[in-house]
Amino acid sequence: MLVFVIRRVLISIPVLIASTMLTFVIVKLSGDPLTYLKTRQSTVSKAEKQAFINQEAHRLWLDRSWPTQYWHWISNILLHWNWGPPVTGHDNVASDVFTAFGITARLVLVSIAIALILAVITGVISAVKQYSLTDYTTTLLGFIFLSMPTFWFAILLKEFGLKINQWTGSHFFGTIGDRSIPITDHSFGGSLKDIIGHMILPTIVLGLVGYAAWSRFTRASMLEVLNSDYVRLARSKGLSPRTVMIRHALRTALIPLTTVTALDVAALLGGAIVTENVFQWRGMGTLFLTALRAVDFNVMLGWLLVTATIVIAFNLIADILYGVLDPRIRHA
Amino acid sequence: MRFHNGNALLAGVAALALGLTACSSSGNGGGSKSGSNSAGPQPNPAVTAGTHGTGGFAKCATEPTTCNSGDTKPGGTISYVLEKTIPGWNQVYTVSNVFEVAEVEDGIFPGAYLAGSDLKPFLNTDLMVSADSTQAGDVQTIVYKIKPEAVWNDGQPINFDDFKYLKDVSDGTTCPKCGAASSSGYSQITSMEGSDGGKTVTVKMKPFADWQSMFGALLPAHIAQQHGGTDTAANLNTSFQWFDKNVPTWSGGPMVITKYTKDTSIEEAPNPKWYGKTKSSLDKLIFRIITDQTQEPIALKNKEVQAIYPQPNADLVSQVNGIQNVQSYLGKGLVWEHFDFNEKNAFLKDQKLRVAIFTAISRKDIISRTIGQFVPGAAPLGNHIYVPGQPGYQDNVTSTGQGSGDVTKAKQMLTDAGYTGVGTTLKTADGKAVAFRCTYSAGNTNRQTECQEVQNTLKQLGITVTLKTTTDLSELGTGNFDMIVFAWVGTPFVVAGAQQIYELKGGADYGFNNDPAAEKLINDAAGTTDLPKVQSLLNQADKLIVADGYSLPLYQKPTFLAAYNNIVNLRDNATSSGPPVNVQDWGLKAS
Repeated sequence: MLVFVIRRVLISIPVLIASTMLTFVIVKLSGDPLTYLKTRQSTVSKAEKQAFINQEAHRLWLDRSWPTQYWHWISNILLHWNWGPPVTGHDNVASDVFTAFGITARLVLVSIAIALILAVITGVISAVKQYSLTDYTTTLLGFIFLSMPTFWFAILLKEFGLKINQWTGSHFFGTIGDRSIPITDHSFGGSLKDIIGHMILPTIVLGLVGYAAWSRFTRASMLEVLNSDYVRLARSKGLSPRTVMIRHALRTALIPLTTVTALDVAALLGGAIVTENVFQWRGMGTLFLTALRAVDFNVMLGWLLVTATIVIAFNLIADILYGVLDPRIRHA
Repeated sequence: MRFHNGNALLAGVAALALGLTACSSSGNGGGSKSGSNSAGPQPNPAVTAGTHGTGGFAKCATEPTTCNSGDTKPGGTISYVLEKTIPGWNQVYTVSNVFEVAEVEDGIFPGAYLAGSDLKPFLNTDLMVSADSTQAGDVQTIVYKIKPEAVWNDGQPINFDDFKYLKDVSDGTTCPKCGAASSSGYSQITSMEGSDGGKTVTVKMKPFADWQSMFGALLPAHIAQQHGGTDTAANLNTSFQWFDKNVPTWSGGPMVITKYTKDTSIEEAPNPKWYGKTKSSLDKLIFRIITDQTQEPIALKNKEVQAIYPQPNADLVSQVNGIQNVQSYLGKGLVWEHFDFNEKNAFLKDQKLRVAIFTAISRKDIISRTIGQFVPGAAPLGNHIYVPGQPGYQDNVTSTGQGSGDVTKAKQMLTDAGYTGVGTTLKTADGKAVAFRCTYSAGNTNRQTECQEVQNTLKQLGITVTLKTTTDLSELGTGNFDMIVFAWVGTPFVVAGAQQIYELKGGADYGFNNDPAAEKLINDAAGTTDLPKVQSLLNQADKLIVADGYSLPLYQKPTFLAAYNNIVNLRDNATSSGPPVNVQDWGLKAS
């Protein structure tokens, strides 16, 4: 097993290095970070304006060749943990990216946990009671959730939260941000209520999209396993339906779901862009959107570096989990 | 001036930009509830057309500085929406000179003159006793008298040192690397003297028409002294950058920043050392950052915010109008949409072709298909320098026939100019078929419609127009455009704006319109402090620009302010200072 893990980790390193080069080129091609200065009508002379643009280009290393810029960027990260300056402002890019990552992680992990539990339950029930009313209902709901545009669904949910607030005369559901501003109740209970009130709606939006796909996946996988020979054998040997279902069928059926989930989690941690934007959470999604609009290349590079690392890490986790769950893989 | 890319306000020159009027000033201005500098409501169709207010905002078109007035009760919180995050805290610095920063700092940075809701500069009588300007030959002398009680929130007096510091970081020579947003006026100062314990500042300079734009956002020199210094260029730069990096805990205005949550909110409370006549009645003022405009009405409806100031569209206006207890004002701003030609283009260098094209374009049709859908009564703009409501505005465009949609007249003009194939395939005298691109901002449906309208209209003249999109208007700088539609963001201070846009060396004459006569008139206007003369010269210049067929003004972009009806003294301010210019007056209505 250890050899298997080491082999997978070693493969990940060149992939990560290649991804930094690729993302660097993509970001450099995304536009001129100083356009905002070049097209701005500040009331200074043309010479003063150009001098300031040159000064900024030098500060941001834009007046060097691409290979020099790449080496400067990557070596500063590796040797000094310096992720470079933002195009505007004075924030620490690393701190910005990891703060945003923390916010997104909070949202994503809760929604994934809920979505996974629901997906497994309904997927299994649908498979066991194939072509029943329950199966048709969950299938219909799954397809509805799958086909709903996230943006539209998020707005719809916000309106729903708003109506609930109006009917109850409360401010329980928040529609922007992860906390109320100003925070009026600093007690533990008050803070918890505020956090939950702001978390429910985006969690549902994010969770239902994952739920829809995963429940369909679980159903299909479970059906395949339930119709396999070894399950029929287990049944014919007189094992209880519960034992057959949980110890034999479900464990096997969850193997592919594990891989899919690990990959989906990586994608979601990279930024639930639409959900975060609609609910104005300052996570990875909004960080990327803001950086993209401003051609804030060091922030984009930082974001892409973290995202690439997460994707590679979760691919690794998926591989390892697959190996753990299925001995045939690790011995292959 | 600034230009406006879609919904994004770029570079706010704020109150730092250029001055409009001359002579001495004292007295109150457009900021506070009692402070109108107008004699009274004077309805002017050019000003009121295309505006609409409800509740307390109903009279804002005719009474821009006093509408929604009322007595306030002590306490309460108001959350006001910002649409962008804060890049830095020094609005005098080029990078941080954006609209949102100016709005947050309206209550923090003291300034000699402020920009009123009536689009006119007014003396900040909280800070100043007077500001007197006189001109003798080529020397203009301005005497600023600062109120003795005016202090920063640490008790240090606001005085000559603060004026001198702002001049030093801004003039472009004392601190060349500071990167101040505006050097206009400051670079013309020949001497500055302080007297009366620093409470009187005497400035001598080459005549500068927009002198009221200077000293609009003062920085505390004594704090600069603690964080870098004020004596050398390097020290000035260090302290100037310090102001940009650090959230101001200092204030010389009615409010002070108490908390900043990155990219989320800025909380302000009344400045306990505020020396002005009106103290804020609020417990807290919150600037809430919502970067997706479509989320603002829902947040308003859910009472998470109490006031919004977005760039309006039909959907947004309709949503806000459906919210109970919310009043709104659809006004006209200093942002104006226009078509520009690139005169480097082989075809468009011909003035006769340009004028014919502008004659064929119908501005009324364009308006009815764009902002006319939610701004009833919106009318074409008739000037390249002034907008309705500003002293000096007059319609110099309509009478020329440009923008009238008169295709027949345009055809005749082209035929007279020697073009062939008029109405089929327009060709120059040497047989080249006329074709060019119309560039608009990607994702901006209004601008797409505007270019499509041009495309359809010019087909009738035999001209092939291809549509092209731009993501950031960078084509302006590179010259890679033929015809382009975008917006300028004006200020109450017009002269230097005109210099930038309509002079070849101005830095923003992107279409290379070379009109020495117009340039001379604008420069003459910049060199006088006589207001009627300034207006006359600029209008003469505008007529020449119209005749050049270089730029066709379309319409003023609407502004939209919406707030709960229990908030008083909040009103539209279309200048780059924004509505918070009189933030100390805002409050919850006394019952």
